[in-house]
Amino acid sequence: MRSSFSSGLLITFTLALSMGLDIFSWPDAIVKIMPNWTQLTFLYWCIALPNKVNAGTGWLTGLLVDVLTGSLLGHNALLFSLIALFGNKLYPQIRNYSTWQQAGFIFLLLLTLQLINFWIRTSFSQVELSYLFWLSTLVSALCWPTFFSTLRYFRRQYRIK
Amino acid sequence: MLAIVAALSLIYASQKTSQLQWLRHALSYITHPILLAIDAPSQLYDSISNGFSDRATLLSENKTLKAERLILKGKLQKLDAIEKENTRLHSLLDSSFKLGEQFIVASLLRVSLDPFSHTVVVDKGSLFNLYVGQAALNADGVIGQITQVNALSASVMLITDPNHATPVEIIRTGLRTIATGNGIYNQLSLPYLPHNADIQVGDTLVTSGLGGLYPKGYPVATVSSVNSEPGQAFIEAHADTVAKIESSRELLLVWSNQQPIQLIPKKSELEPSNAE
Repeated sequence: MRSSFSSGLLITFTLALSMGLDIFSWPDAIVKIMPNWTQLTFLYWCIALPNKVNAGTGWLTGLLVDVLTGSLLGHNALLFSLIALFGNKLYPQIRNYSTWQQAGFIFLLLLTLQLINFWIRTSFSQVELSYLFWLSTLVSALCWPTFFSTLRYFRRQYRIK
Repeated sequence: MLAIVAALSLIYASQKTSQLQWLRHALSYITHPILLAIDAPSQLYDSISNGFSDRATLLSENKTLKAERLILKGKLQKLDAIEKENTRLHSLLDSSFKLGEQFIVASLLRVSLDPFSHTVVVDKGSLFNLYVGQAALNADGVIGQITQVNALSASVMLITDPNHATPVEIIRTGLRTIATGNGIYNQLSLPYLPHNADIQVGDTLVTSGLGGLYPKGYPVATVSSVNSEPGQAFIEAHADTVAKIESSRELLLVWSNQQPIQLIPKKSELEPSNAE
């Protein structure tokens, strides 16, 4: 009981923090290639605690991201549900990969999501997307090893299983 | 699987109708603290730098502001007379027009919602009766329009967003056209000008009032390049926006009068008996 309460708290806190990082006004030079922090955080929890974080959680998180960033309702809900779907299905394999193998796998996963993101955005609105839009996926994947170990450190610190 | 179906139907529903506005409103109470938390450091920086600015700076700032106020008040003295005259002249032409707008000042939150679209967030929402489509200005000219109203915040799409088009008029000639955003900061495109259009570099564009969203006559941009290629259907022209978004933290939101100003009745209508 105690563990489930604090795990929920930690997951919520990290997700809120990463949403904050997503909307932070970074300098113009790097704002477009910033990794999608919320997606990374959510993916980590999908792999680490597949019994607690599922597609429903993803849908809710995505909906909040939609409201926060003012995008079409359901846009991020779809992306986060897909992350949960893949994460929950493939976590036994991903956990056995080495860190850089994980990063490679996550690059492919996020690239697929970015493609869906691209479809939704271009079919409902006019956007000028440059190659930086795709580059941010690569940056996300490169950040993964550090990101993974940081979150794992916190998870172990709070003994969340 | 269920979540994906739910997400897809949400996309469909929110694309087709505005019925889901209540959901956005309700959830915006949850996400608002994140906005505030991200904005807080820059708010803190501003207040600290205000607190530590010395007396001499404040005095000189006060002096310039007073001088500016004097000049503006001087200009305003004539405005009232000109307004009256304008109403009279319009009544001669039998055309009604709109005058008189209300403003509310809102400050920008220092967040960037989406690096690939030009939107900013202001700290006032539906509690202040803001509405979608409301025009946003700053001291220099038009900034954009409100595209989304939450309870405590609203997002403003800048006129430079690729999704945005502003109906404009060239002051010098009265030629009306449409200025679209092209995703470059502080620049607009004028894609619908024929080759015989009278347009020069340096022309000022103001809102034309067509379309009903922007009140008429606010400065938008100055033409920066005109390129006429005979092979193309239209002139390629660009304009630099007058209002620079990074210049200030405050902007004005406008309520334009929905009712046109009452015309001054003509003499003949006023006193039919005397006319004979």
